[in-house]
Amino acid sequence: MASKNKLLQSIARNFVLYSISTTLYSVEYPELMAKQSNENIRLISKDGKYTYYQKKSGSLHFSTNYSLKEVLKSEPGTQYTLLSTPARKQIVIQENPLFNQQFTVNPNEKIYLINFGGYTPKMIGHGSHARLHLQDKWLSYFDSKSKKIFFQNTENEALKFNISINARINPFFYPQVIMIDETTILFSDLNADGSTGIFKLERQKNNLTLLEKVISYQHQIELVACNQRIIILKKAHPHLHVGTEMYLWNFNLEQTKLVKPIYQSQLADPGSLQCDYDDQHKLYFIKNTGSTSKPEYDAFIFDLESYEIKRLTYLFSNTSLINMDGVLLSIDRGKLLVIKGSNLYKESDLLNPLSTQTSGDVKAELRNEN
Amino acid sequence: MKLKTSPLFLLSLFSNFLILGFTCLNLKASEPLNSSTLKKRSLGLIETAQRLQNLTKDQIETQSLSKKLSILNDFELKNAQSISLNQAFLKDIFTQSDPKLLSLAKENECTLYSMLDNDFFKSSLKDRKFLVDIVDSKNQGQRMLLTKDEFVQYITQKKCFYLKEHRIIFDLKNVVKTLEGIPFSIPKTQNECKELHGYWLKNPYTPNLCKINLTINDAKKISGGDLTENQIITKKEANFYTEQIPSFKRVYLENLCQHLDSPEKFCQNYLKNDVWNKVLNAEAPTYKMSHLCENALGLKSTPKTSDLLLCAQRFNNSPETCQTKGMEGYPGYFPKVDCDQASSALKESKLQADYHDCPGNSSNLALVSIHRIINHFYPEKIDSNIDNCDSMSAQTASKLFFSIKNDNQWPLNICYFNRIEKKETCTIYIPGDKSDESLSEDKVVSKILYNHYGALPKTFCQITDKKKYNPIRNEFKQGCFIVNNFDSCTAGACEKVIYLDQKKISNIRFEGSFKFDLFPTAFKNERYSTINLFEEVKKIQSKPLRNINEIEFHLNQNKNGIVFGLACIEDLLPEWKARTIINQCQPIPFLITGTYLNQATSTLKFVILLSTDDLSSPRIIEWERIFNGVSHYSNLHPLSLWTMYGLKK
Repeated sequence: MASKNKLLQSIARNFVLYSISTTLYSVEYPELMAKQSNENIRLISKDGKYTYYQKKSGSLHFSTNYSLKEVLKSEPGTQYTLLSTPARKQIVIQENPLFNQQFTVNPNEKIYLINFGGYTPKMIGHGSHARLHLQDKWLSYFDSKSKKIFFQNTENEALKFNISINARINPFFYPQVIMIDETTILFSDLNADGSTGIFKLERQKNNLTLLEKVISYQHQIELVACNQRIIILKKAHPHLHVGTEMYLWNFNLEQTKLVKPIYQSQLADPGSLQCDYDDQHKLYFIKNTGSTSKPEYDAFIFDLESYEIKRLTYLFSNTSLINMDGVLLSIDRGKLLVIKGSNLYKESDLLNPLSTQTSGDVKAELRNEN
Repeated sequence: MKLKTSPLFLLSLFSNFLILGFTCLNLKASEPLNSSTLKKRSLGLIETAQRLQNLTKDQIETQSLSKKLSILNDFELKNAQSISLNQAFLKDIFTQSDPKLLSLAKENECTLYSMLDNDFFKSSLKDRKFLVDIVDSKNQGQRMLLTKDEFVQYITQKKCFYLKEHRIIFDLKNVVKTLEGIPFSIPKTQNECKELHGYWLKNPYTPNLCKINLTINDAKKISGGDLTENQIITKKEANFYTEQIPSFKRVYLENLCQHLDSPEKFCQNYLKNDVWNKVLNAEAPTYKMSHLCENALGLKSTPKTSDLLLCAQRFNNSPETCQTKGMEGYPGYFPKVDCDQASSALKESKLQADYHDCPGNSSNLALVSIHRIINHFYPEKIDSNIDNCDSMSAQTASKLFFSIKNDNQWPLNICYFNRIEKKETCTIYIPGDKSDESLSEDKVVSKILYNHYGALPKTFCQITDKKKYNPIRNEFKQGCFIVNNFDSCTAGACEKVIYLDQKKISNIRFEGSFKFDLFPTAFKNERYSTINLFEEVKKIQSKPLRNINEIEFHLNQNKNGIVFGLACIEDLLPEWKARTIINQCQPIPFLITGTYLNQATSTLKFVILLSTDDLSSPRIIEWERIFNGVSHYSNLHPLSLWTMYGLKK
């Protein structure tokens, strides 16, 4: 009986919280509006000129002014995931025809490349967790079956290589990969006891160096390159109550150890690091603002110069941080919200000129100041 | 300055009570001792601990080292009217020794002597000598230093006759047999436990039993190469105890002897409201901790009760044990939840699972979920091992699929050149070798080889590992072998080569991989979706559940009711794999097997077992994550279907 009462109290409290947060976000963050329904959108360019969307019948389409093209056609239910970078030269397409039939963390997807704004795909290989590097000159992807990271030059098909990883202890592990330059690669791997190591491969010297092995099995890492900076986030595995640390890696100084963190939290942050497309000193990430027993997640901006952080959203359960060609999106209760950038794709898609940015980021900034 | 409430002060107060008690005993035993002398030596009860300690040391030093203080060297013990431990000596050993021993010592005079005999106490005197007060035949009080053996011999003759017998029955020759005759009962209630603790304090064997524990612990502290004779003996004895005494009894004694002064702490390990304790009390099935325990202790067989007890203690004392242990040969998401969360979740989980699977080896996590569901509604104990932990899931799913004879939908084929029809033909197969299955891989290949490749009529194909296959050896020279590369194998996807009489058969191919519509993806295939097969074949009823109340109701109202769903991992575990691309989703099957009410926050959460998770490590997660995960997947589903169903039979 007592537990029932507590449950009713909890429901009532959650309802109040829901109402408050609903009021907050509905005012502050506009929903993404496009001609296509949101679940079909796979990429819209920042200026709204190019839209890639898919149909549940299994085809991927490209639409631009007065033009509609089919990019790929596969089995019904095929899932497409598209990825671009601030370089805006290439788009990676990951095609999973067994999206609804074969369930695994590292699926064996077909990986294609198209030019940014193009619609002619070029098949590259099979794997998952694809990533573009060095101004889109290189593509990497991971094949979990062979435990290899494949690298492919996007301009010259003949230029390719691969790296084998170990990671036997966690069958669902996928490595974090960064290319520093054409010959130097950073990637993560696991040792026999599950600790993460960050390795540096120097291709010219065929030299593999373990740069850092400070990360216990309780932590996982995220690696991102924002312009000339490498950022490493050391964060907890799900349900493990260890803190979070962020580091800046300086490669010019041949740094071989993680030094003082630039950000620390006693709580487990989900991370999900995203570089800002416009301001090279800004980084976005998801932080736990609640507690260990009751986490609350929201997006924050991290200033890589001053190391200051500023809250960006007040959604309390924000676990998605999507950077779609420079427009920052989050999801709240099934709605795609524009956190930074324009939400007016519907207008641009209708061939109207891009309007002045009455964007979510301005409103969010204002709210923070208040 | 020391406060009168400090532990040391309380200890001194307590020891004074004890000493007064023993003094009274001595008085009774040796009345001729001058009572005025005794009074002179007595200390006030409210003396500070510091003063008491200093005084004790002074007294000991004075009394033992200064010969002129009438310390006898050659007194005939047989001439003594009575011998009792000197009060200052008692204070000395009580202040220097572990306070919890006093709880046992105060029970009975003979218990104290037994503890002295078993070297429980430290003293300032050299060579383990005892300082005693003697009343001689002329009724005169004297002091004397005795060896332990001298003192024990006298006490055995005069007061505590069993000490000598205890020495015999607890020596290394007899201790194992003696322990066999002593019941080590496990209490079930708080009252029962307190009574049991009291029983042990009064039990005259307890000092000898705790000596075993003391020796094992002392041996652990010994390190370095240059050992004294005593240290060598301690190590030898400890090794003997560790090897010869069952772990259950060792753990029991550790718990008892470490908590002699606290029945609460002693009982905590037996009455804790965690799943481990429930398993030990047979309130929860053993499988909830047996696999974790087997791996935590590195056992090669099913853990016994004593092992489970040891594990329960270990899981409580070091909750991180469960994060890493149990993965050897049974890969799943690493690291797992800690023992505290595993316990909370397992306690509420209704899933029946007397086996162990290995999600990390599976080519399709749907197989894992199908097996877990069918085994829950049709429980069967499976002797899991590294070789079958993956294939048992594949077999369960295959059986379910073939029970409606829908060969066209089956995704796995063996294709070969049909020499009769002069074209390539494909035929379905089920991976692995199963004696009762005509479609098993070994039988299908044997049949193809006989019909089209000239194999003998009774050719039997044996599935073997690439590492084992060696054509030079006689056993591989004749016959058919399907050679798998098990290093990169899963039940549904494996690199295979067929050899017939050492000749490689190159134009037989294995095609396809396991594909399942867990929920209907097209109207035409609706009947063959797994959720419909559950109902049609296994009579497991299902209905969609869309909100928290429906799920809670389903789990609480149906005895064996569980919830089966498909959701994006990005919402279920965003700390692992966050969504960074629009409409990014990696659907993962899951089971909700119980509810969990967080008492502190009054929040209702759910016990969830992801198909990536180890069977013995379910998680507790918030409803919002489950709802968001299912919603996002539903948005991307070809029929926009809600993919979370309540199951019951």
